[in-house]
Amino acid sequence: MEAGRPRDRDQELTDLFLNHYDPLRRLAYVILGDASLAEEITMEAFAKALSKWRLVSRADYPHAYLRQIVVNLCRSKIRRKTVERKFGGLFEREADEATHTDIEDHGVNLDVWNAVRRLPQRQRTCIVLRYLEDLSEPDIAALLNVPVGTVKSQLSRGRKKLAGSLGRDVLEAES
Amino acid sequence: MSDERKDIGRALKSIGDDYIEARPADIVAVRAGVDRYRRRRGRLAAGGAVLATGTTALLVYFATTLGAPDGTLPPADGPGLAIVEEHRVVGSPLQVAAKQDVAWVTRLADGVISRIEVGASSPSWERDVGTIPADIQATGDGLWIADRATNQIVQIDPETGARLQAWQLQGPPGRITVGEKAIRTTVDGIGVVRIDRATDEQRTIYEGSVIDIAMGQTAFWVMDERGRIAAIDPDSGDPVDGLERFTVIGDGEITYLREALYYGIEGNRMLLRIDEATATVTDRIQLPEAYQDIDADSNGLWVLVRDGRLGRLAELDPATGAVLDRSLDLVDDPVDIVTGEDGVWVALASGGKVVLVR
Repeated sequence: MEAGRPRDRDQELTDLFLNHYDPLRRLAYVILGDASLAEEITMEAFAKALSKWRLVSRADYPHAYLRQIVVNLCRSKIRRKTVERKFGGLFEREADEATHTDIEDHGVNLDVWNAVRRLPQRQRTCIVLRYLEDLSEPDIAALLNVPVGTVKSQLSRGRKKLAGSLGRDVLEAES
Repeated sequence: MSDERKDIGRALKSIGDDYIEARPADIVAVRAGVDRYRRRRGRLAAGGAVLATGTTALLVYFATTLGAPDGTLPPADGPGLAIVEEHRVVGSPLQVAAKQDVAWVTRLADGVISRIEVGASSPSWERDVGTIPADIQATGDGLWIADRATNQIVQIDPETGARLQAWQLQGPPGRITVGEKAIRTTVDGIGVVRIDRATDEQRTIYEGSVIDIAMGQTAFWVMDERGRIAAIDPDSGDPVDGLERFTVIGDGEITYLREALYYGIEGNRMLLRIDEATATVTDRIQLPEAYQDIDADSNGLWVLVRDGRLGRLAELDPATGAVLDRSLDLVDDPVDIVTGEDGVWVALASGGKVVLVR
């Protein structure tokens, strides 16, 4: 049997989606820059999490659990993109233009975002987790399962590249 | 240089918030999508390898369901189909099984199954069978549920809802087929397991990350996460002579109907028909909208297509696979169809109801 009565569980599920779906797809979107892909990955994260419902329902902080899945899926997706471009396929997804159009007017924010998106995958992920999710370096290291020193170096390199793209003020803002 | 440019976090949050605002989520649809994803591709828990191909259908699901405006499906002008019964169920119905004049419906978020009789004004029972049903099948002697919560195949009394028997598996089950002598089920991390109904013996007859299975007339068909389809002996698992393994694009679903194997991916407009005798694709059926489900009865071969929250039940020519004029528009997220004695049952996820069409 699942934890809780059906109606309790239904409410728990509703709360889980209401509380975490948007923040998680926002994170995926900022990392990936693809709205549909972000939603796909977030859905997939929920699907994975619900497969371990007992674990998730009893977690003190389910968002962290879901966020780790989302980040891992994003990293996998980025790694796979090269392969997908190379081989293509019969069922190709149409380009997601609407959201990009929606945000074209946001000027400086878009400049920053575009610069972040040009970063290598590991630097980008660290930058997004640091600045969008407000995670500490040790928390990022734990989430990515890498040493803290690796996170520090990735953040440092990422900030330098952003500074090169956006100007020295980016570096100063962090220091 | 502005303060905003200095603040990476603020810029990223602003971009992210704009994205959320531009694409507001329908949580009901999201939950339905997650559940269908888990149900139809129950091997998710098997591991990350599924990412190689397993995301395509979901991705297209979003492109067609959440990304597409409602009301874009052209009106059907086909004759002769109508909703003859409408049955309300609590929550969001997601999968329906039928036998004779009865349908059983699973729903989102819990393990409650509703039993619906043709002509009745309300479900004859609604029972919490305590499962996360990944698949449900109805046969003459039971209602069969692949339970991902307990890693069991559960047999339910179709009349009373009482639990009759359960078989414990070594991993979460996905799709099941039920025969007189044996049950065959996909199991995450294992492949296909055959359960002898007389002796309860379990035997792995196919190893791999299996997505879907279908019992044919001359072979048992297995499709893995890479879209590889193989014909094996349903008891021994040995490859069937003369039927080479072949590969389709992606890991959709396979359905054996009327001496042919159909392969479709949710959200894509193409449906492939595969000749069982030669294991070759004989027809590429162009659907009017995105594929959702297919089933057949003695009266016809039916396909459910959808565009956003709208859908259409259409008849296919069993000889050619061509989409016939006989069709019916449906609203409220039609997600699953099954043929019964009295017509075609359709689960309408966001409508909280199951309808009978004929």
